[in-house]
Amino acid sequence: MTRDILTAVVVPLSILIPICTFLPKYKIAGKETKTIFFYLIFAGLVNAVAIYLSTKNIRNLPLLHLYTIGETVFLLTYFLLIFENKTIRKILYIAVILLPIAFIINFLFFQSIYEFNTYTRPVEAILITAICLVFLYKSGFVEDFLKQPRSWINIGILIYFPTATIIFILSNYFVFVSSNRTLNNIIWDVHSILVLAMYLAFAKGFSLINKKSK
Amino acid sequence: MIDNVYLLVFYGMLLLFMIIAAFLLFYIRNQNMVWKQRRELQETQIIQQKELLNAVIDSQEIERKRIGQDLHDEIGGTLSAIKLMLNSLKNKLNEQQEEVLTDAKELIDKMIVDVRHISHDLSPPGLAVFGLFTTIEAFVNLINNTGQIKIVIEHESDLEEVELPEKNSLALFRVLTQLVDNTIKHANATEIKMLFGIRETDLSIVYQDNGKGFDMEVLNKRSGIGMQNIQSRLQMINAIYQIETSAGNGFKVAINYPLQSAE
Repeated sequence: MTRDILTAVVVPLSILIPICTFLPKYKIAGKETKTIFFYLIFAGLVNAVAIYLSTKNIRNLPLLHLYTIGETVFLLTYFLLIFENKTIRKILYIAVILLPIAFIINFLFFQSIYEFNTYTRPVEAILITAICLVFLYKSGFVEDFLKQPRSWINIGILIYFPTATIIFILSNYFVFVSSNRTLNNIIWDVHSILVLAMYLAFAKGFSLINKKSK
Repeated sequence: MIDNVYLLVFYGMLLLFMIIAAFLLFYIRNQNMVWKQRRELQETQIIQQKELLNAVIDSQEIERKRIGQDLHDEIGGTLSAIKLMLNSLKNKLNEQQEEVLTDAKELIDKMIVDVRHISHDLSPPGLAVFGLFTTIEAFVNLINNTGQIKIVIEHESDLEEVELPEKNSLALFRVLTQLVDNTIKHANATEIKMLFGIRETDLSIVYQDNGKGFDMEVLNKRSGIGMQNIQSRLQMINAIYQIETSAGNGFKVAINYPLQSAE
């Protein structure tokens, strides 16, 4: 019961924390934080539809394939907006075009839309983690690191994606192969906690938005 | 549902590799930054020490100059006046008193010479007008006249055209006089050679004595005030020096002073 509340109520609703934190700052926010805000709106809507479909006993896994494409586009756009290095921007432009195509090819020809997209989601997560690490490396260790909104957004990304990659890789195994229901529950609880931590980090980042940080 | 296990294992390994590589890169970068900051701090400290040393030496020279001038002008002048006053007593005293007067005048003459020597030592008067080499020659003549030791000066090339700033000339002059002082006090030498020349863009000075020398270990462990003064003054004018000595084989120091830094 507690588990159901966490994954079905607390975590989906927790997306409202960063959204509500961002709304009063919308006018003074920069393009990169606005991109994250729209990503959260998108994630919240997809989640709401998934919960609705679940209550109607309709399989909602096809939504995950669409969500992966949307998430990739939003997060790569975010990195496109914060990177100044031309080579990295060029790589990001190529990735933002090619990855969605690859993801579509995957669910058309390789993995069923009623399975977890274990071939594409880890690629997305690894790429986003790598880009985030490159950004951290390139931006250096600034004195007011924790006072910058984008630092918290990157912290959120780095909390969620590297660990979630392992879950993405093994998601088909956990759900369709493993008969260990307890392990399965624990894994998705961990995933929910990671999502919650990412949202809270985003909320902290949004709370730091001011005219200077734009 | 059958996933390609090889692909999934590859993803896992890629993620692991990426995290380890990132950790290593961040660690190396952090270490580099720490080293860079430490190096910068050391460089700043060295610069500050050098500036402090320059200030100390500068103030020392200003004070020496003032004392030298005061000695020369005030005491020297007063002594000359006393001598004139004593001269006015000539032929007015009896024979016994005349003898005392002559002795007193001789003492005053000696005092005048001593005061001049001390004031010249404190503030070499010819340095600004005649330059380093002429002043050194005058100093060498003075030492040679004492008969204590023989100093030979050799010029490799025409050095009269080389003009040095007074501050740097004074530093080199002080170094050479300190070296001569050290040789006379400690080396038990009979001869000193000073060789001046130009090496590309540097003024080269080689100072050599035929004294008893010393073990370099002694210099590395502790150096006296005289040697510290020499090192400080050479550092102050950005000169490079190399000491060659060993017990029983004399002492040699090669000084290279960059003439460009004088401009």
